[in-house]
Amino acid sequence: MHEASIAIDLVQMVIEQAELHDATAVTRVVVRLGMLSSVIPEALYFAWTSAREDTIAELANLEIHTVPATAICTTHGTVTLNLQRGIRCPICDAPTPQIITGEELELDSLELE
Amino acid sequence: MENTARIVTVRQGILKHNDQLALQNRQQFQALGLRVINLASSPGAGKTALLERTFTDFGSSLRMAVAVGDLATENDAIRLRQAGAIAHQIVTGTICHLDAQMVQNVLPNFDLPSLQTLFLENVGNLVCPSSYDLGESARAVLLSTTEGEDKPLKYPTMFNTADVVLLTKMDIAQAVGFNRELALENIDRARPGVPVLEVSSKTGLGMATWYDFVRGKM
Repeated sequence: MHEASIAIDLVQMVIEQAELHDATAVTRVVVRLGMLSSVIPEALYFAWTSAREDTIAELANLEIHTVPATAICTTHGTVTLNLQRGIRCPICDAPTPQIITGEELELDSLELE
Repeated sequence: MENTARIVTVRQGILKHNDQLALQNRQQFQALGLRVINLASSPGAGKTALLERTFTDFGSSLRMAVAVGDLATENDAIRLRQAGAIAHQIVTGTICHLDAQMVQNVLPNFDLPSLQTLFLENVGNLVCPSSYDLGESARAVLLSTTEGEDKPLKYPTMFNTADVVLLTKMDIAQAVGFNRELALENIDRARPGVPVLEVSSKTGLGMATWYDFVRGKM
């Protein structure tokens, strides 16, 4: 799984941000994870707990906000996808190739001291 | 000292470092007029066999090379060299995907200006490679007839990033009870409108259209 690589990149970003803001500690890290990001929250938590060791973020709580996959249906507007059925409108089953949200894999915010 | 807790908004992609390197790769490839194809699939779907046939059939008529990623062995690069390819292995160790940095590291092994097409054969895995832009011009995802027809729905991210999907091992489709219509429907559900090529690296079925894609003429 690639969650280990992602956790290492995440810790690196957190360290850079902490330095940028002259922080003495990081207490909370908020990540946005889209349903189409192919990252599993539990695996990211697990990888995070070892990646943060001996860094300024070693006591920081990781909060993962899952973002649903949404797309544009030409008939029904913005719809929330049921990924079991693919990239299709949940109401009329039309293809919805224009994806609006769900691909997020981002560091949203930090709580610093 | 008082507690000076504060919230800082960042809103940046966690893979931004990879994305920056991928952009450098892409600019380099574009400046050279080099077409770069990222090949992804589950293990055993036939990526190496597809490339063996491709190198054999093109011979010297298209100047191609391949960088092939694997966790441990050099076996695939050896196989591809036997088919006449210029091939370099990227041994990824414990990493289950190629990233833009690994590609950047292997590039000096190739005489890039002499090439027209470079293949990046990813690690066999339908999850992790989907998140990593390598700077490729196009991404080809393979699904073999020996796998479940529902794989595109199980791994929507990988299939949703495909520029072309190849249904491989079509020569044994009947023997393994492959449900072609269901597979095509599920591919279209994962990536509406994506072109699908039905091929057999063994018999050569459907390879002409793949070769058009390789040349950027599809």
